Amino acid sequence: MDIEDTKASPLHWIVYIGVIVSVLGPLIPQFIWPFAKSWFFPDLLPSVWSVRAWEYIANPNSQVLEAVWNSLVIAVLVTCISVLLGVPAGKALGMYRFRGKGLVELFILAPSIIPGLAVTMGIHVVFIRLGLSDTLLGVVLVHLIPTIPYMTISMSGIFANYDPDFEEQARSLGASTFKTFFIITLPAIFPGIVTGAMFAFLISWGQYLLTVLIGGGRVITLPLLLFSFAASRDNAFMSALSIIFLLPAIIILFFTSKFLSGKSSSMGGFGTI
Amino acid sequence: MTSITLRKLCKTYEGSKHPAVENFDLEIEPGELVAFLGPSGCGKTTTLKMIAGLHSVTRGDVLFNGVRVNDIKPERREVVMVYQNYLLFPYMNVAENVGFGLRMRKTPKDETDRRVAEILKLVQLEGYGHRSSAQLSGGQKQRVALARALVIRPKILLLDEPLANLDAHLRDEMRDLILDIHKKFEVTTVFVTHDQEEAVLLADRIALIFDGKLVQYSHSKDFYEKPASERISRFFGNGNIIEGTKAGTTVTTGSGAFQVRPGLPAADGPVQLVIRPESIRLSREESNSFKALILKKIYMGTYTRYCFEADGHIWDTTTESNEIPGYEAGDSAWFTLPQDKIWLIER
Amino acid sequence: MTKRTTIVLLLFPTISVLVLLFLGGLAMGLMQSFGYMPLIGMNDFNIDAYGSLFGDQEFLLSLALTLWISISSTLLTMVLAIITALAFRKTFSGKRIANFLYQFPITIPHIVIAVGTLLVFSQSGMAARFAHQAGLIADQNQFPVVVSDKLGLGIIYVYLWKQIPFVGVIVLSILQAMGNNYEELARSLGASKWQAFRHVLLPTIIPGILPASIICFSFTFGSYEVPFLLGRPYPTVISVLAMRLYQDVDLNARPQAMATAVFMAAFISIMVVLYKRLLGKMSGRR
Repeated sequence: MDIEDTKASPLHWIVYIGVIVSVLGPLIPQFIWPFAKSWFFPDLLPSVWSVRAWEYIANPNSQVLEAVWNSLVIAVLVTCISVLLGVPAGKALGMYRFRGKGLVELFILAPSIIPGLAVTMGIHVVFIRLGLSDTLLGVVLVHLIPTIPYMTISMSGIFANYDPDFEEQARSLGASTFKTFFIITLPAIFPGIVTGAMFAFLISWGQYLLTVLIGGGRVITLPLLLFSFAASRDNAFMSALSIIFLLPAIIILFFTSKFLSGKSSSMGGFGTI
Repeated sequence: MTSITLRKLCKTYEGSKHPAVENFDLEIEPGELVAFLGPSGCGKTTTLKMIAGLHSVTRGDVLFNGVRVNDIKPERREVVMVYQNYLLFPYMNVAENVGFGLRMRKTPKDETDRRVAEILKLVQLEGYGHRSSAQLSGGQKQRVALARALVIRPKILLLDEPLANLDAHLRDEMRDLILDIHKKFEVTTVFVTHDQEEAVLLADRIALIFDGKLVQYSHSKDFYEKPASERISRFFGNGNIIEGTKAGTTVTTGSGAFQVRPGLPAADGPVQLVIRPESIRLSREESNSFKALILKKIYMGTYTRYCFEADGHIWDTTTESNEIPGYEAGDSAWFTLPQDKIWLIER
Repeated sequence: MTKRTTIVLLLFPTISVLVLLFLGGLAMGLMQSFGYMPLIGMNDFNIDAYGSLFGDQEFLLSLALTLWISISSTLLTMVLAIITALAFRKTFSGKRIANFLYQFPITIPHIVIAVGTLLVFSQSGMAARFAHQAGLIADQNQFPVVVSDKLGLGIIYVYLWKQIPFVGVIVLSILQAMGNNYEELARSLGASKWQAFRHVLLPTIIPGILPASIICFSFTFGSYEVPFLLGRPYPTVISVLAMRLYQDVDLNARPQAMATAVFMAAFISIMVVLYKRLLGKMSGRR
């Protein structure tokens, strides 16, 4: 009955079990299906097991390895560019006050709110003209539209909590600008950069619509393959690809779960993943 | 008016091995103003919250007017707690804050408005109703918090460190306000503090709490003159504690033998002799006088403090500055421990 | 270097990339929606695309379905995020694992969970199989249609799965920052448990999760993959409709696709402005 009582009641347990079942429920069959050959209603487990889905994935002709490689290259490039651009911009927004700051923030935030579909459809025609359409580079560029705002906003949160007095102290003790950055600034913001970069990676990794619009079906990435299997309802292949697709997410969650306190401004970006 | 009785009250928090409050026995008279005094983390706020019903009781009972209230929900106890950091609801203005308790009781709007205006006048915040709480000073916030508690006419008022967050000059004002309110509303009041001076200035009686245990419950004067233990004596700022042996009305110590008044509760045998610094006189008298070396002289304005040494023991004394002969550090002087001011603690 | 130059230099790369890609994309989309496409020989401005858009019954049905899905999933997200966060505030055995699971969906891509929803909730899915084993249904056709259904329940489920933790983690941090004292105070002033929730917890939580809720709303409004996989072909949501028009072999459908996309962008922008007003009003009261 009392507020300080932090113990869970049966009512709470209903919530916990509900959360666990509804979180895990849709994931568990995905880990069984890739090993099923025939698994008909109403069996709870496959009647014939097989690893043909995995064989298909490992087969160089299947495009899966190519797609994984493309996805990785694109996501890594996108992440690097986003960090290079987002960190300085985040510093400007997090550490300085200037006229028009609110407007700049709104402008940087806008691409994560306004549907990417609208922007990408419009830009497609320019990309065709410039020869960027159907190329990896074109896909990388268009992936920057959601990742740069995310990186900038989350870095501005990191810099807002960063005390510039440390830099001044280092300078007054005789460190050069260059040294100050590497000895003082970088170690302080590094964890923030890593977390932000991992989520920028995930945003690019999970992108379907922008890739299909600009890549025109010629730049094959993992979500494209997964999407086409899902649309044709091929359960075994779709599940196998889905597992590969979610691996980075799980790895990154393990690394970052302690950062997910909800206090950091980087939370704002999660909604767009 | 309501009396509070705590009977063998215990509280152990979930996941903690040590009880936060242990076997509390306490009787607070109707309309009394009592201080829970102790260092931080001693369990005084926990006890307060058990009286309010906000924290559950692990063992023992809380009684109001002799009726056990352990199982009565906090909102039905008519006990209001005022928090140290005021906790004004930030999304409500002053009037809405003060009227909160009345709205929870579904009091009609016109009555609510009237009572809120009344109480704001009482705490000298007439016309502040539409201010937002962010616009108030610390002292004003405290008064809004008090008004919010009093407007529902509680049977018991609980104050958690009511003066701790205030500047020195506001404290006197707030202290007077609390005394006024206590008199006017005749509400049984318990407040928590870590400051012995604050407790002495405000409370009728003080419950001194160390490590979750009630160590002494009496009128404030007793803590100075009749401390129950060495620790209590030191908590009240008295370092004049010297080991000795009592035989009849004589106590023999390293600094000599002293006569004590008959009838002290300590039994013959090993004792600690205690005397307040302000009770020691700088003079030679018939008995209980000894000569000692002045180590330090500290001028404190109205008072002057001397530290002096006799047979390896350092004593402390404070005397009114204009009364004393001009001793300096390094001088020898006579000191007297007046027989009726000596207190003994059994060892 | 003056402060001004520093700020300009720091912001310049990001701003210019966004101006080119984002503003450029929007501007091009806007132009094409007015039928201005010199590449394919359409050189005059007109608003025909918008006219046919609002005259088109499929567009209006799509808009209604999209709004239904985004509004209901956003509202449900808020309610369930608050309920689950309140429950996760308590301590219980296995909390660490449960906590991990609670935050788990934040990083999982939408397509993965759309796939999972197909496997569980289609009529031959795991839920139907369990229902059969439990004797609730005799045939898979008796299992209620919750995927590719009229109301988009499967789609809403995926959004909830993704968004409840996202908002819930924010609620948890608000609750943590708030501590127990405000609630205790309310109780001692005479509020019941419910009243303390209603008058103290809720007014603190709601402004804190409004920004997250607008992100949820705009995402669900513009999302393509989930409704494509779990929705019906007709009526579909507005993004799927725009994409279909865009991929139409007849280039004359292009302006209409662009008009649909521009409409989406404009609609979301208006929503954000309205929300900013609302937030401003709320904080103005502080």
